[in-house]
Amino acid sequence: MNLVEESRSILRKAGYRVLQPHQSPSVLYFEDESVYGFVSVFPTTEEIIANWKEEQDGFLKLHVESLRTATGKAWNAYSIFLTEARPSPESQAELLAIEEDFRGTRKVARSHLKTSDDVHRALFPVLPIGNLVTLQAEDLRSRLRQRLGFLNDKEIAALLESGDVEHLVSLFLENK
Amino acid sequence: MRLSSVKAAGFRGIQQKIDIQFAKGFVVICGRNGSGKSTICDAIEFAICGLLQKHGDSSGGETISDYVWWRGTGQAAAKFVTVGFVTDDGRELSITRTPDGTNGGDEDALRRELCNVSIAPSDCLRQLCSTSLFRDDDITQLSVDMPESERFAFVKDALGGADFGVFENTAKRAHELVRARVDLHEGEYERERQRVTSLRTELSQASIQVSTQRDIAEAEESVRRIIRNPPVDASNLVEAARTELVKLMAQSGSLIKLRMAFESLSGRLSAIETPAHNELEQALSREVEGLRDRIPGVERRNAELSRELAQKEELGALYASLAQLHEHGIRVGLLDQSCPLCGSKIRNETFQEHLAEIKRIVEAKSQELGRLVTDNARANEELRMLRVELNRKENELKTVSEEAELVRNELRKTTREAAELGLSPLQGESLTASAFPAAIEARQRVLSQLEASIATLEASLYVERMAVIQHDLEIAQNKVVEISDRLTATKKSAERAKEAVDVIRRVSGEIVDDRLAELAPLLGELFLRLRPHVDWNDLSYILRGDVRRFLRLAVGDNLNPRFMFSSGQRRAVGLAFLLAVHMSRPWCRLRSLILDDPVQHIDDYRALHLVEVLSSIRQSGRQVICTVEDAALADLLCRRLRSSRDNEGMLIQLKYSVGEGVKLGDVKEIHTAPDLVLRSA
Repeated sequence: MNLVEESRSILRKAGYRVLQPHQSPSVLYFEDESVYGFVSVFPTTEEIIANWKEEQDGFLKLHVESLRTATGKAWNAYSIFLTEARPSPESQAELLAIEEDFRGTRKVARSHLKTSDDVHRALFPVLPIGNLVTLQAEDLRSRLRQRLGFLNDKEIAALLESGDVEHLVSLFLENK
Repeated sequence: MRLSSVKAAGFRGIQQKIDIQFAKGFVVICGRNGSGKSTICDAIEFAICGLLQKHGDSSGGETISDYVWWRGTGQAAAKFVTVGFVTDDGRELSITRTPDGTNGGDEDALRRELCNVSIAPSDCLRQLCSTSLFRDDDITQLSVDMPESERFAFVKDALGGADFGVFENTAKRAHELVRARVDLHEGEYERERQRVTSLRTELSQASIQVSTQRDIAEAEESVRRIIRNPPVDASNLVEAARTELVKLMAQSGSLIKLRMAFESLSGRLSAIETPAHNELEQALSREVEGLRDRIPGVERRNAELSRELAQKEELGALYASLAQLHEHGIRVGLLDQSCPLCGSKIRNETFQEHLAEIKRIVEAKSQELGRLVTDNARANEELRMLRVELNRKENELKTVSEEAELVRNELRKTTREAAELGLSPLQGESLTASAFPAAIEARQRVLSQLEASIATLEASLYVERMAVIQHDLEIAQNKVVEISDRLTATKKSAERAKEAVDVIRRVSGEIVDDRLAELAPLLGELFLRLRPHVDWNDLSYILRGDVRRFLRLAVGDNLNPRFMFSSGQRRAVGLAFLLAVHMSRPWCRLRSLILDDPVQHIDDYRALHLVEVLSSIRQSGRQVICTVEDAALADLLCRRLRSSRDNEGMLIQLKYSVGEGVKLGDVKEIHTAPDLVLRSA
């Protein structure tokens, strides 16, 4: 899977402006009115561990001038490092350590990304809620009415509308 | 719809009036401990639902309701809380509550604006607060630490729409009443069945009686012969025969007792009227006569001895004086060769001889008197013994002489009683014991005859009775069929009522199941975003129970996060759960999420995740109101919560001033930062 293209697609759908730096096919820049950052794709976890700092610093250095004028979001920078490779347990721990390093930008370092869903999950920190559901306000009473089909209309009305227990009992007893 | 303002005075820690206008996008409220951050959340909750649900337990009889209004030092300027709202189309509304109750705004109108009441839970304003406002304490208590059954109820109530409790109660009550009717019919059925059984038994007995009947006319004739003045009709004849039977049985018993008494008395009389008995009587008579003859002689001798003793006792004084004289003579002796008693000159030998003579005389007379006393006593005892013996013998003679007469009197009495029972000897003859057996046997024969006749007559009566029983049995059997049909129909009604209860319960559960299934992807996403644990990235739920439903949260291989995770991790799970519920409520129109200090116990890394989750929630168009203590975290929230041109943010500082209570500090609007910073390298 092409992680760069997959990331580009996901970020664009989320409303980001996405740029492709010249001569850096494994990197993407993204920005909206609140946050900005880059996605850098590596062949191995070890290369992320070895190069993440240099990549972050290079990115910040490149945009230092514009960041000076955009103080409102200067601190909302994301450095996202992705790889398809499966990490060793030690590398996994080091990736976590990168994420927990709060200096400079907010870092996201994820490995073993095999599917589009994996990439989507890796980009969660900059994406809106994806599984937003508002449960349908269906007419539950008619659903119940339908399931109470073994009762006649009068019984259903007494049960669901009037709530008159005595009347309901008399209807139950009448309907033999 | 979103929150637009909070105004309050004299409420909780707010003494003087404060007025906070909320930004449309997000509001970050920052302040130190006790600065009033939670009080702002309290104001929102109290204004919406009229109570504070936190601190549900009482302490020393007090509850949070005792501390809703200002209780600090000094007077509050006023006591009220007002919360304003603005609808999506720009309409403004508000609700004000005072210590006297609602005093501005209409709670019903507010309910209709905030909730789609047709599908909302019955206590929708409370549900709205408990699913829109999450306090630090609630985050785990309302989610991970909540018992599974309560968690299910929480989700069921929060998601709304499946509030079929009223219908379920109506159906349950109806089922109970129909069941009571079934029980009633079952009781009737049992009683009627018992009546049929009883009538069948009675009919069978009557049938046996009838089948063994003999000649009724002969039996009637026999009864009429036996009893005196028999009644005319058959049923009265049986009754009279039974009375006669009882009487004859008593007489027969009496005759048997009389026979035994008669035989016993006859035996005793035979034993008395013998020569030996006569000889005994005569011997006793002679003994009595002999004793009577001896008594006068003994009495005379006794009188003589008494007289002699009296005479001797008269001389006793003389001999007593002599004894004293003798004592005196011995004690004093001669005085100048003279007797000390009479003064005459006497020789000592003579004087001693006189004294010895006196002594001899006194002793002789004393012995004689002693013998007399003894003889007299013996004579008296002999007389007394004779009289006792005479008395005893006289009584013995009387008993022997009278016994025969007594027995004869008893025999006469027995004979009279036997005569009263119809047993009389022939003229001129005495009654003998041999007359009794025949009489008794004859009486037994009559009794047997009467019993047999009564049985025959009773059997004749059973023929009529059988017709009555047969008729009653037919009626009872018809009634059994009727009740049985009624019972079957009522049971069917009860089954339908029970099925209605089950269906309501089932549909209610299904709706919650469906909604949870729809909710699951969002729950999973929020959990993944909050990333509480590096190994377990999936949060799922398990529903179990039929009547009582349980909702369990699980990570990994069905592990309970309550017992697996640290407090900070549990908080992340709790937030994922509560936020998923918050964002999925179909009935709630208020799109404001209020978090009261949600980052306690959470490390910086996970706090950052939470901020990003809130940012993503902001992106969905919701207003986020969040209180925090840490200023740096407040800044981070202001940067990441994404203000935009139409949805600005706001940072509010709160502080607590002694004597003034909670006060509004700096209020800073957070504007969007549309500048583009990126360029292609």
